[in-house]
Amino acid sequence: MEAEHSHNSRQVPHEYPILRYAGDSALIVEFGQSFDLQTNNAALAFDSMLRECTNSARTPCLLSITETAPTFRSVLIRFDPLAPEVEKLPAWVQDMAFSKNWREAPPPEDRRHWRIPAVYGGTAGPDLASTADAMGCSETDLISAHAATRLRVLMVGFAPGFVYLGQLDETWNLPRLEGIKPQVPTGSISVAIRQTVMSATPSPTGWRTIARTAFQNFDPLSKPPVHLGAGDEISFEPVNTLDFKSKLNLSPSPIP
Amino acid sequence: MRSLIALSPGPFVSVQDLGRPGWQRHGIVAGGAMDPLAFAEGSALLDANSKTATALEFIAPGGCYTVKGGPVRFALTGAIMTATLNDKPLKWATSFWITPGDILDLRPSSQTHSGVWGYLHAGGGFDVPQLFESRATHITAGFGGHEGRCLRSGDRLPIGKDQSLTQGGDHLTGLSLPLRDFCKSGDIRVLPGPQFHLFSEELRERFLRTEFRISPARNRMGTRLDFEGEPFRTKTALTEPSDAVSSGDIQCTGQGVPIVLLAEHQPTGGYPRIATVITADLAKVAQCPIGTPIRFRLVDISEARAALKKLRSNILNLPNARLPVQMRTHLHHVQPRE
Repeated sequence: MEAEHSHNSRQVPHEYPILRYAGDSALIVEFGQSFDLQTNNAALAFDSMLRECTNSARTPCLLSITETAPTFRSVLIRFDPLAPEVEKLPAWVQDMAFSKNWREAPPPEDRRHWRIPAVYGGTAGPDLASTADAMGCSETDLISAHAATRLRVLMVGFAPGFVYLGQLDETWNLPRLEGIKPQVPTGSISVAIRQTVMSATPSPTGWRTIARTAFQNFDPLSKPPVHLGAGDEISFEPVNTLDFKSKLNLSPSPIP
Repeated sequence: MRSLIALSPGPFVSVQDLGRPGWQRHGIVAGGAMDPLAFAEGSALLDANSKTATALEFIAPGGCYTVKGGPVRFALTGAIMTATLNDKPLKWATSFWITPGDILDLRPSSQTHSGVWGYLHAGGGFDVPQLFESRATHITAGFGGHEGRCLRSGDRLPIGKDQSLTQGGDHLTGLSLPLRDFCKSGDIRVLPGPQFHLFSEELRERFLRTEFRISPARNRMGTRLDFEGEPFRTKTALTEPSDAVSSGDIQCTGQGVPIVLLAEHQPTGGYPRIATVITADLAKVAQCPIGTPIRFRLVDISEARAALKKLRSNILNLPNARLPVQMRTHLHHVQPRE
């Protein structure tokens, strides 16, 4: 543990965490410049702490918080700028951010593991062949490698239920496509820069779409409307066909 | 059941309310009305609670509508358009009845500086399904409001029970509010953005000196800004990790073009944000027509708070600002507009 800590301290510039103002109604706490698992853990742990504190609300300024949202490397804190004692919020957040080394925090509790069936290639994954070419491997090897990697939800963003999953090994460090595809369907699974993204609404993409699932991570009629949360883990399971017209229900297993 | 029939709606008409804050962790932004003050004005004219009210939001032309199943109270607020009921002129920012067979027509105004987003409230509200605490249409994601989309010809929107009708009263309709002054030009107040530090002193100063114009590339997600001169490009514009963004953020794209993010912005983005428009001035940006010259003025947090306090108190005082339509016409003659 000691050794690992000193290793981290060397890697991360000492100025983090950094508190940034984002307009009159939000603060952003950054735990690092770029993505790595410990930075992501720090953001998720800090977000969990905020949610717990906001629910119990022992500190009056916390009543001003209207929502929090973790990203790859930071936490957004939105608040009502006219709430009582709101002016004390930045100092409280700053104190909490420096109260311990959040990068040593374990991944969040109540994480789940999802096995998500996906059809690779064909109309479901139109960029499979060109992506295999770019990686210098066969389509079959690409599919096995992608399905063999247990991926983690690093962030929910860009669109409702849209998830960023990481992290694939260095061979997947491919640039995004030059053009933007105006629309890929719900459930499209695309790769670039060692990450995988999965869409939950029809959306534009500059990523390489290699597969598609019938699992819909965004369903406005369900509670909550989005199933996957940051910290959850995913294994894709290659299948030959899926009925993309009907909703696929999945039961995740808890991660001990 | 009473309903509104869209005979020939304009190109961009959607059901909105005050949005669904609190879901950004799921990739869902608050959305809702582009101009919350104009939205609240419509609620005030109908004595409705703006927290539970719904309205049609539109750009000009708003289109043609009628009702079925019984008379309905309506109010028109926001961007000023030319409104007629059965070809007779209607005053803007007023409440009125529409009975079955009547035709409401909302056309572009001949006035300039008349705003962009208009609102049509119905007494009883539009009874579309509530999806996680809101009836607002999220157009890009295709959910909420009426079938998750803008209205089309023939759409029928059910109208809820109008509580004010059962209570009765003297002024169910025929009330008016003062016409707003929309942005002709001028200052939009900003705070430093979360990536202010990535922009050089020269870029920051030039950003605050530059006269921008509202570009035709605008929608509910945001508005691009046109300008003359060098782009506002940071060295790291394309390599910053995506982070949570907020409405009002002014992001500078890879080409160095500023975009002001508005109600239906994406929840995350990687472009550096040089400044953030204060909450009180957001609707002002949204209501600036294409070509409007604007400048950004850096203020501090206390000015941002004071401006929001004033806006909220204006909203709370709207019921007191209502007058019968006839008296408003009289006042226009004796009181020069601001």
